[in-house]
Amino acid sequence: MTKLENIKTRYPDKFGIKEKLRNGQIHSSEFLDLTLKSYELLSFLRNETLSITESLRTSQNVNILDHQILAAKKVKNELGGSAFLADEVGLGKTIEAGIIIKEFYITGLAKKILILTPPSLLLQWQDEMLSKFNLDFVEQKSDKRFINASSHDLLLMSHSSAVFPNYSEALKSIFWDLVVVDEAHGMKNSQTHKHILVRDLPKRNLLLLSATPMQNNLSELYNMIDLLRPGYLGTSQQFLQKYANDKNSRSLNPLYRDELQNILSKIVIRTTRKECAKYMNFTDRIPHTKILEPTENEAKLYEEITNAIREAYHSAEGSNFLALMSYQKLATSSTGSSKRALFKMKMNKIIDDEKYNELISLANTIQIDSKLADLFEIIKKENSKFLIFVTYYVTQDYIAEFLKKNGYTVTLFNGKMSPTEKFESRKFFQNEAQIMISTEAGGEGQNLQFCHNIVNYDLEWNPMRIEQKIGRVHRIGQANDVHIYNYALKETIDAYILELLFMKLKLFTETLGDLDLMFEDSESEGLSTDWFKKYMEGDNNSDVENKFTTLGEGMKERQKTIKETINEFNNRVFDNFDLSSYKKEDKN
Amino acid sequence: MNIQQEIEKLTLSYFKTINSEITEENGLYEISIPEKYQNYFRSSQISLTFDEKVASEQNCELINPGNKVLFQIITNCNNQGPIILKQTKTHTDNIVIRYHFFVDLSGIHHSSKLFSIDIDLKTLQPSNVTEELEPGDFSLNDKLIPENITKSYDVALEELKQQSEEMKNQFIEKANSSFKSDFQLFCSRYDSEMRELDDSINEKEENSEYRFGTVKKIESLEKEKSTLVENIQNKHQILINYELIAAETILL
Repeated sequence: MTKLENIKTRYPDKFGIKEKLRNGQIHSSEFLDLTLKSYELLSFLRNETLSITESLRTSQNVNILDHQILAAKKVKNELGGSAFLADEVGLGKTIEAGIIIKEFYITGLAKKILILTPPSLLLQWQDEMLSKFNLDFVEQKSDKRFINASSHDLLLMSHSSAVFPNYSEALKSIFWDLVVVDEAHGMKNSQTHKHILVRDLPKRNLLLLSATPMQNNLSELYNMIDLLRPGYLGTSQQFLQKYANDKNSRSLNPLYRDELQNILSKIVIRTTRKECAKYMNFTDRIPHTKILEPTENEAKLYEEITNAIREAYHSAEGSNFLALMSYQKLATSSTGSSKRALFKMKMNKIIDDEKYNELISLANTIQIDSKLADLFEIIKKENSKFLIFVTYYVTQDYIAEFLKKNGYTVTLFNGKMSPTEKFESRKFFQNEAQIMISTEAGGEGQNLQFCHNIVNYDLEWNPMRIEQKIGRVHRIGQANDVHIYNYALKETIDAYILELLFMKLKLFTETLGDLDLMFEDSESEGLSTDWFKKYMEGDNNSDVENKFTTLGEGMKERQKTIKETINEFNNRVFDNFDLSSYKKEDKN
Repeated sequence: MNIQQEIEKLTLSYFKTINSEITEENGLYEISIPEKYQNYFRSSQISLTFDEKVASEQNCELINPGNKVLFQIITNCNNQGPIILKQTKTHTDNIVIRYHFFVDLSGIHHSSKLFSIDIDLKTLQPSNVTEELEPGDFSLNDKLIPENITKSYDVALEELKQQSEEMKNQFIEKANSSFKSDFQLFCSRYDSEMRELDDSINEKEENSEYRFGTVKKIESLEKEKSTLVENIQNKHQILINYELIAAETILL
């Protein structure tokens, strides 16, 4: 069977022309020519290819898919450059936005472009725009090139930084040709600074990106659409009176379902995973949580270091909180990094020389870290590539040395390397090396989908960063299920966090859209400090465990609420709409 | 069609039609927006150009595909659904309705075209008005036969389908070709795997356990293939819109 039989035919008369004719209604003649001309032009524009399509299709740096090109074409040719890109997770909304940005930039439609994203995605955006589209966005926070908001034509800023009064005023003094807002569900509340800023930015075009355009009620949808097309839906009250079916605005009046779909189809583009299933291979994530029993000496070393940190934490002098947290992190990584922690603690008078020497001697008795011993067994069994994430150079070198001694080809990737060295390392990993050991720098931007084993040797305390690391390999183009090995030693802070995130909340097991909703805007320090405080304030292991259990229950409840509201509302309203760029239906 | 010329023509005639004041200097147009339209354009004055060079030097709208003002103009024009009166110089009492349709074929490809169909309101037959027309100054209510409107529309639709048949067939042919190529590309690997499995059964006929397992595998592959075919069909689904966008009532 290779013949297409699926044809739908419609006869829309959305202006009620037949009825008007029957009633003898007529109009002034001036608009007839314009109407016919505009339809003719629209017909032509719909078939216009993007000027960058061919160069993108042949580019080595980016793999462009049909639905992304169709979405970009629709935004440019039919939606006037402003749209809500609401594809389901994992379909490449960033790429769609990148195509639109590039097309507008190249054709002169946009000269000044601003991207607003959650803080955790800044570097990823910067890297993707540069590596895939050759668009060099300046990032306001950690980019040395940043001067001020008006000095850069291509500017990248976090939602949270942009609302600071000095930045928001600067941003508002510039006319932006295109503003792109990632994770735009953050704009759902019209009273927030973020929403008000986006509303007030002088701009020609706006792109909102979110896989979850509706979370709670129609009012939120109204708020976001109103950013795109102010006044298009009338006033909030008019909109809700017409389309909402209950006082919570959580269900849609079925009488106006088609009408709302028609309105949204002129603003929202939503491609589903089902539609792309034939050319996209969606693979699973298989987590392996390895909370290992430490050796006696490992346990003793960690306990001694933790006790010293805890004592300093509670001390009247109120030692530097962030420094204490960094010692704790060092102590969870490896024996080598524990020695580094001890040295720093000695220098800052948290331990004396005697204690330092005693604990260094203890550390020296540890032959091989339990985490490495376990990982080595796994690598021996698997004849495939491994991407190992660590936090510290000392741990990176330790693992590399051990694996090399045992005959493995290893490449390193870290923030000390120049762009060329990074490029060479990535190439070496793709073509020859079985193992890449990467510090946090490797979590950003690199596409390593030729590998399907990730090891979180040191656990990130920020869930968004864990997701980003997994996202390096579990992305479009990954052909295999991705195995995620997460390491921690029993009763360490990492073990409690690991248990909380992977076992209780079961995060990261699929490309969840609710992860960013749970932790939206979470700066690494926010969650990390919270968890560290809980760990420090526990009197003993069972007390710490209780504190993390309570924390986990609260988060689980939040996760449940988010899932329920999204599922309920999306099923009832949004997911029944066909807003795909594949088909342009008109239900009239 | 020279797209840039058409865009320029539409933009300027639109602003003239809505009574904007237009001034031009070295390719830079200053357009004053009448009060009635200021809310729609969210401005009382628009500076625009059709020239990339001017746009790079001046702070103004570059009107080309993707531009917001162009989009607003097209949207405004597309949402009128006008019905107007026309007449020939030597008219009698005959009324012909000229229906304007926008035929839009979409799927994995896209094609659209305007069609105008004339229908004699009395005989309900297709007509072809070729005489020069001038604005009509007659009362529509005296000339119309309301009960014939729906009938005339139905006749117009039939005529439209005939006139657009070739366009439709070409589109379906193109869509079928894409569908076939997708179908072959994605289904062939299932077919070859199933064939290999089937062959392996014949080779190892005596082993019934193997046979049973392999048949199960083939069945599961068949199921996967049928889901895939469904997905491919959905992606390639064709939608044909015969949209009525305007009408002229012509006194012949």
